[in-house]
Amino acid sequence: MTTFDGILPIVAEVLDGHREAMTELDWLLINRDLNGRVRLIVPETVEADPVMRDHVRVVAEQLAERLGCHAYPADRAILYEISREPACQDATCYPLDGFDRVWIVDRLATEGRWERIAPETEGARRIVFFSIKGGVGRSTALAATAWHLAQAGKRVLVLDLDLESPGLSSSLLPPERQPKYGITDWLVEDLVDNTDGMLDGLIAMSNLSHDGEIYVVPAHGADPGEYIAKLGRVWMPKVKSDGSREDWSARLQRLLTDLEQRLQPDVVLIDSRAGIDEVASTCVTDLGANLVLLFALEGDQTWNGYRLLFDYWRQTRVAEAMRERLQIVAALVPELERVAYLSGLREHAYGIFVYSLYDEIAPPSTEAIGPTPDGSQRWRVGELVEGWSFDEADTGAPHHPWVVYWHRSFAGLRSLQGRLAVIDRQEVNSIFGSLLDGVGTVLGLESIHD
Amino acid sequence: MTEAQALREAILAAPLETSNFGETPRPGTLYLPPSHLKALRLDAHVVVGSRGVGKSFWTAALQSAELRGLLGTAASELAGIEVHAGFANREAIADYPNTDVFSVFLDQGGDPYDLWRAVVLRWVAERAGQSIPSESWAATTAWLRSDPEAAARLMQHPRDWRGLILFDALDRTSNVWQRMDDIVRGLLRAVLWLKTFPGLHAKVFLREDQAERTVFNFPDASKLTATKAELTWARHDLHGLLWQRLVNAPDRHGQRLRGICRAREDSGIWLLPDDMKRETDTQRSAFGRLAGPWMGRDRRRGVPYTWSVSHLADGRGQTSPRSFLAAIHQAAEDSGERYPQHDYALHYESLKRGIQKASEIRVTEVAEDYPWVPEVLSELKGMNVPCVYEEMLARWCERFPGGPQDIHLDRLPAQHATRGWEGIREDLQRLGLIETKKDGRIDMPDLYRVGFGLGRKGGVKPRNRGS
Repeated sequence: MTTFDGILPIVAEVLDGHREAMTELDWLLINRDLNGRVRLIVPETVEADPVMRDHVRVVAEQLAERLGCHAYPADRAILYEISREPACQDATCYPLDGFDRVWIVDRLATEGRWERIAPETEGARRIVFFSIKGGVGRSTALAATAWHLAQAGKRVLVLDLDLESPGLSSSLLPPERQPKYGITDWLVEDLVDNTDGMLDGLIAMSNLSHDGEIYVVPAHGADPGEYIAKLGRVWMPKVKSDGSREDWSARLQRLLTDLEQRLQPDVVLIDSRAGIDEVASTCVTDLGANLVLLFALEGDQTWNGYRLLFDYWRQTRVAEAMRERLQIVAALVPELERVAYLSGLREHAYGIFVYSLYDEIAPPSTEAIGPTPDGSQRWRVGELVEGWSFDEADTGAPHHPWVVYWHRSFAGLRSLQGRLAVIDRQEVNSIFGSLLDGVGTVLGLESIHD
Repeated sequence: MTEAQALREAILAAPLETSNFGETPRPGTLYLPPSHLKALRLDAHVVVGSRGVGKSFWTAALQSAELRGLLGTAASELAGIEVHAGFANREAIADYPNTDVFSVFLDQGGDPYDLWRAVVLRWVAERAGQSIPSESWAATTAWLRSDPEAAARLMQHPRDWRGLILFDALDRTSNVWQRMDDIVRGLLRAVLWLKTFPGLHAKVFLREDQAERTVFNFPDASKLTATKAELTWARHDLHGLLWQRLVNAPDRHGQRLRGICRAREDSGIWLLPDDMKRETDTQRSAFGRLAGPWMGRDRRRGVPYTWSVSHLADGRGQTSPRSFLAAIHQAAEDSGERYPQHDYALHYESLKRGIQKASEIRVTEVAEDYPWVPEVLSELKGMNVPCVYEEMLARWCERFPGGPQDIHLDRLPAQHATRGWEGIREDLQRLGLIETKKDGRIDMPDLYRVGFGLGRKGGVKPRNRGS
């Protein structure tokens, strides 16, 4: 039985058998529809060329035979298009490994687009807090980071995009400061062009920081209202009067831009939903994040999840666009045996970065290295091969964890508002210091430890 | 000329070469990291350090009254002391035996303890103006054994001077592990013996592997190990050393570099202020003035201040001063050639290429100390790390079908070679050349990976290659 995972390897095998003929094609798309059934899309010119047409037909027949229910019957398996771009529109599209002009076009049922990587934003730095699994202290760490940056005099904008389990705002704002609306309200009103004058009602200023400002935009307002009903509509695409379509991540991007224009923050902290989820993909890939913090516990659940994601980025050829923005954060590091815990975590993180996102550094040519021929006993290294790769021990590498320690005083989110309001800097630094230093470095702040 | 270019010239003019073959170091190159002070104290009889950390440097420097004077209050107990070499990498047959003398002496059943005491006796006799048999080492030891009373009287004779005798490069005493260990053990016993004579001190510089072995298993050895000092270089020590060398660059070059950190002059030598010797913002930002804030366009590849040290570390996380200074010198040269218009004296790409130079030097040093290492690791050329151990093993077995015994050598073999390849692997790991990961795979730090011509595994295949 051929299952979904067999599709790409079989396609590659079949095409390999026709490699020479395939080079005659300007392009070839392997279209996987919503049900996971494969068709070929080829240039229109092929239809008029009997030789090529027959050849493509043979490929289609072989695919039908080998893929079974994951392929269309050969007589319905070939589509003709004038050019490649329109055929790819609104779909995930990436090159097939080993072929120059063959692309996989994946039609997905969800809007979540983990392979569509928006260019990094040029304005205020956007930092996304993401985790593969919930309950790792991500929101608490975000709140502490916001507090720290504000204390350093920064204007900080905080967005709660953990829409399915909102809570960040309550840790940064006392109940009486909760704003009238939330992000869900704006997204729903935007569908009916009803957001004029709404922005002010979305923003509250935290009372935690003394020197700088923390602006909080929560998931919902002081009164959540019909939250479930709104939540079920937030990722609707908006169809404008001219018939054009704006997907929800573009709408969110528009909200963020409006907020930035209004508030002129130095930095934007975004609390993303956990897991390989649609909202999360928007936060991580669509908002032009400059830094994506990947919260991690040392355990299979964390690493299997990140491995799936990283492998997908590699497969869809966006590893290079994404990898520079990533940073592992060791979350809730236990009190006991920290060194062993962290070295295990670092090793696991390194393992998946190396096999998915880092460059392979080829060995230099063998003649370039060895004893000098003049017999002087000196060793010669005549060639240095470089690439985007790191030693496991490299402290500046994305896999090298920034650390957040577990601490009972921060164990419950609910208490955070109370905690931070009275907490002393030293305690925050001792728990979150490595993370705060790391974020500070990105923003050009002095280290807190010097 | 831009400021960056002028600084680059100044770096190139500074004395960054560090290897020491017994000659007296130039005064401006002397740098005492705060943590090394305890190694220079008279009660530190055993000083341990790996290759290139300064054992030979201090052996040479301590013999110079002028340089001892420069240590100032940091080493006041060294003032007025007379320093003598009891063994070193430079041949001095009148002062101490060489490899051949040791070899013959041991073949004839001699006890190294006697030979080392003979070394001390010749020194003390010469200083006291007494004549003892000195036409050969055999003669001196024979005299010691046949007339122990005369020897004891010589040692107990009241002295109006204080002395320090230094022992370095002890791996040069023999090409056989067992013998070398016996010789070192004999020396340590002789040092204990010397401790009983007031005003006379000894200091033994040992390589880490020597110190780890069983040379300390004799009665009262704990009297020596209790004050054992280690020569290691933390990041801020290396940067302190660098700046010590930089501010003493000749003429206008030194002056320009002193513009970055406030050095003070003392009898023609420039000395660093305290905050340039410790990990401070001053020290960090001083390096930033030379190399800029980042190892790339932005912070993602790290900060030059930390990057340049950590990428030269071996598998134990240690970076040698020579590697560091060589890498910086190379980076200045490379920046001048490739990026003459760059905003900083040291371009980050050039710092990366500094690894290449440091690797070259490091492998050359390793080859000198452990000739078997390049024989073994050269076989891994072209492989990628991390890899499974079996992959390495297969290469070795193909090249040396008879096992580690087949490795060609004219000096010490791998210490655990008799235990087969597993022993070799353990030696490589102990020396910091390879690392074993938790899942059992083998990795190699960049310093050696580059030097031995290995690649690094990665999921993203370089573009425009393959396919």
